[in-house]
Amino acid sequence: MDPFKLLDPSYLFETTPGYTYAYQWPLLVFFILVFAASIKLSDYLKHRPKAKFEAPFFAGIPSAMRWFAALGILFNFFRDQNIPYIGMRVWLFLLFLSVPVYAAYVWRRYELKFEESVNKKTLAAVEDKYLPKQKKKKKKNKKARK
Amino acid sequence: MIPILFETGFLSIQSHWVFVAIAMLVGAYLSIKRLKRRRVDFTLLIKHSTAFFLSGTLLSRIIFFTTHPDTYFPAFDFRTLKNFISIWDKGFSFWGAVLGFFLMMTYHIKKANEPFWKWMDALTVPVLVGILIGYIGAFLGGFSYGTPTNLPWGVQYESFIVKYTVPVHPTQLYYVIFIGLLLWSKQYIKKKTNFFEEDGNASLYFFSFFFLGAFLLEFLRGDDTILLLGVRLPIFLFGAAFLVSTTQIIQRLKTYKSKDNGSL
Repeated sequence: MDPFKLLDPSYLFETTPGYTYAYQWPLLVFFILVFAASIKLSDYLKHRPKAKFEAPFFAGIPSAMRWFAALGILFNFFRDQNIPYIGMRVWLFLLFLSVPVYAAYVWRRYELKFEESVNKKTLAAVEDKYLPKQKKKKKKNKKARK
Repeated sequence: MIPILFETGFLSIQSHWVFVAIAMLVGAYLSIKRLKRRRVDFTLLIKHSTAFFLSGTLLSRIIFFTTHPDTYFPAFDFRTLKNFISIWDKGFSFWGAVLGFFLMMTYHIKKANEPFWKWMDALTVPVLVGILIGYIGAFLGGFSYGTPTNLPWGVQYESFIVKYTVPVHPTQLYYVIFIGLLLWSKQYIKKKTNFFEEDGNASLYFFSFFFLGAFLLEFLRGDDTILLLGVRLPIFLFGAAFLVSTTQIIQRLKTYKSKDNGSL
């Protein structure tokens, strides 16, 4: 495939680009793999004690991956069925374009706020040590209420 | 499929209309149950039942009539009026009936100073369940079918109302699966958050996702309707409805988050 075709609006915005295309099955397998990987990643982020400061910054990635995979499967289906307008190549192109944009956003947020978050959490942990313990909530006695 | 369930010399019971009747009964039963639970004055439905019926029927007929110009008014003359009155040809639009019912209901709710969103929350689920059952009937009867497909689950109709003789998308079943998932998703989210406790949030959630799903599924429909810019008119209507309801729910979501209720 010629990658320069992606710069041609008439190629991207063709309303019914046709039933047959080479990347149908590879794309489907890829999106299914992304979906499976999102589940694995979600599990990994939950059970990674060493990265307790970093984890909140990357917690949204599995969900984003799931959305990416679901939308990918949907657009691939519409493309396969040659549905006018929603089967256009541009949707898949935008979907793939959203990946570097999202990655840049997550990385930038991490760079800007990571240090501040570590300081805040460390300080809170030290301060909390000298505070009185919170009172435990008593369970309401159902029989007494009756 | 099975367009006719039972037939004798002078009587034929069509599966589509049997399912429509079941949908109405189940919808009515669920509505009363849910309205009672929300402690609203559900006698409003009974008091003005004639008005609800007439507005629903009239708008249903008007919309079906105007969206099928080739059938009903090839030319404007006396026959046009006669065709409009001939309701025994079963030309009714489902969405017209919903719109007619909704407009009359809004009028009476406002007039009686009843909580509008409480009513909406109570009635959205029965309407969705009704649509789900109705689409099963449509699948059996050969209505609301899809475009031709080569997928293994494509269905072939041998009916004069279906214009394709090749396998088509079972869009009716797509609707059934989609509405089923939508109803289940609300129950699933409800367990994790108290977002739906505020009146109207549940119905806006349903509206938003239902219109999005309907917008996408309309692209797969193969039956005839009015086209606008080469695309089915309902696509624009569902798209607009989706934008309106989504704007509303985003605003409510922002308010919910600002109250420090945590993430949804």
